[in-house]
Parts: sequence; C-alpha cells; structure tokens
Amino acid sequence: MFALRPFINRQAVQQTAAAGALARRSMSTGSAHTAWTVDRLSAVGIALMIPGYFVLPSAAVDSILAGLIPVHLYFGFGSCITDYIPKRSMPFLNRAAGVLSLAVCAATFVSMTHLNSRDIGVTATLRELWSVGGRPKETTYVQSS
Amino acid sequence: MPGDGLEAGRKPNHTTPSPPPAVFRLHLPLLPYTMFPAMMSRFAVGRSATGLGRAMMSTTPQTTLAKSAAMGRPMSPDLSIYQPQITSVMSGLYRITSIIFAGTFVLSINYFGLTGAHVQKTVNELKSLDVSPAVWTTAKAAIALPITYHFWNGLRHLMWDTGRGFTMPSVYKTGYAVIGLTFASAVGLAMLPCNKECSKKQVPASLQK
Repeated sequence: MFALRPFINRQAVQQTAAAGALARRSMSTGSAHTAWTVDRLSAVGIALMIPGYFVLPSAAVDSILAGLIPVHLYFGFGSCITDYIPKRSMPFLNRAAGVLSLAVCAATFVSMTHLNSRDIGVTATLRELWSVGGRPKETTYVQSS
Repeated sequence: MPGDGLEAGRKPNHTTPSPPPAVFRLHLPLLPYTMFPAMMSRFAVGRSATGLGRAMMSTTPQTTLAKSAAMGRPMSPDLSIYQPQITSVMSGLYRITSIIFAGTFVLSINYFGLTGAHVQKTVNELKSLDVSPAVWTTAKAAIALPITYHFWNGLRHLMWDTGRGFTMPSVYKTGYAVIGLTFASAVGLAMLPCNKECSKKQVPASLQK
C-alpha cells in the first residue's frame, strides 16, 4: 500500500493548494488513502502490462489484466457515480449505481477469466479482434488445399 | 432626463461577459456534482414567467441551489461564459472518452463471456463481412482514439499524483504532448498491419496451375 510513498514528492504536492489539501485529507483518512493507492497501483499495473506483453509469457499478462482491469473499472465507475449521482441528494440511486457497477465489474472479471481459461486469452482476443480489417504486412500467397 | 447625456453614457447591465483574464484559468470540470441536483430541482419546481413569484408561493425549496434554480438564475459555474481552455476541455474529454472506452471494453469482453461465442469464429465472421478496408481503418481509428487518449492522459495524471508538473507551463506542455501522442498512436494502431494469419491470401486464379 505504501510502496509509492518514497516516490511521491510531498513538498511539491503541498506547494499547490488544491492538491495539497487533497493529499492531506486523503492521508488523514486511512480507508480513502488505501483506496486511492489501490486505484493508482491498478493503473500503473495495467500500464506496465504493455511492455509486459512483449516480455512476459501471454498467460501471465492475461491473468494480471483479468485481476487489475475490473478493479480499475470499478474505481472509474465510482468516480462517475460520486460526481453525477451524489449520495446527498440521491441516496437510493447512488447505492443502486454502486451495486450495478460492482456487478458489471464482477461480470467483466468472469468474462476475462473465461477468455483466459476456455479461449485464447484476453491479449490474444484483443489482438485477433484488432486484426480484422488490417492490411496485410506483405502479400503472401498460400496454396489452397 | 433626456438630453443630459446620462443615458448615452450608461451601458446596459446585460452585456455579453468578456473572456476571463488568464488569472482565472482554473480547472473546471464539465459537469460539477452540484449541477445535477440543481437541474433536477428545476424540473421539480418548474420555471415560468413568474418564476420568482412561483418560487416564493410554492413550498420553500430546501437548499439555496434549489431556490436559485427555481428563480431561473444561471448556475455557477456558468460554463458558457468561459473561453474554452486546453485544461478544462482536456479534463472533460478525459471523463467522456474514459466512459466510451470502458463501455467498449465491457461490452466486447462480456459479449464473449455471456454468449460463449468463440473468439476465432467471431473474428472470422467479422473478416468475412463485406466492408472496405478504408471503413475498417476509420472505425478502428475511432475506437483507438479514446484508448490512446486514456493511456497518455492517464500517464499525465499519474505524474500529477506524484506531485510533479503542477506549474501552468508544465500543464500546457504535457497537455499538447498528450494530444499529439494520442492522435499519432491512434493512427498508428488503426493502420497496424495484421498478424500472419490475416495476410494469407488465396492464390488468384490467374496464378494457379
């Protein structure tokens, strides 16, 4: 949880009034700070999977992405819900949207795991889908059998 | 009194506001959370020509925001008076494109999970569609743009999260860099040559023995 701390330039954070206030508030409340860190770690982890795709075997990248992407989605949906369906004025809708986003993220996790275990895997799926409509690298003719 | 010169010198109060000076180049989210309940209350109380009277006669609105909305006052921040700036526009677009990206990803991944369709079969079906390569490339660029923007601007946000790059010149510099990288990488992805399987072509009849 606190692995990012030495990397964070606390002085620079506090030089900017808004960012400084945010950092102080989130660091004083434990759970908010933990959620913030988990959110950032999921983002960094997903970004690292781009070089990881070329270094690690595909199955490992697929598993890591299946774990991290639903978490990242959940935090992203959570930000939208906080902003547009505020708890103060719409308590029920806020709660319902939170449950719905959790369900969507759980379904996405299950679907990604399904692709990893029963199909060609998440990264291969994206690669194959992206190959649709792609121009051939070079025209190689294959003898039809 | 007419002719005393006062009327000629007086300006109406309701002129179009000039763009704010550079000091007020603040970060303004496109839809602040305070706007939404206020808009809802506007529907609830209603707006009429006698807005003020109705607002005073009807049940007293609970919040200042609801009262202002009922009287037809413009909401603050009234985004229409601000000149669009790279900071606010990029911030709003980040949220919008992220939602588009998330929707695309969730729908396409869950399509396979919920229907149990096989990836290779689906891809082959898509490849057999009669769609010109130009249309495919355009569609892929449209799909790639939110993804590349989310990636590059996400890196920018991670930089901000470590407390770096908060000066105004830095914000603008990284903003322009993100815009450039977004378009460049989206075009690159859209024009990416496909893998080996897709480059296989049947031997044309003229070349066959």
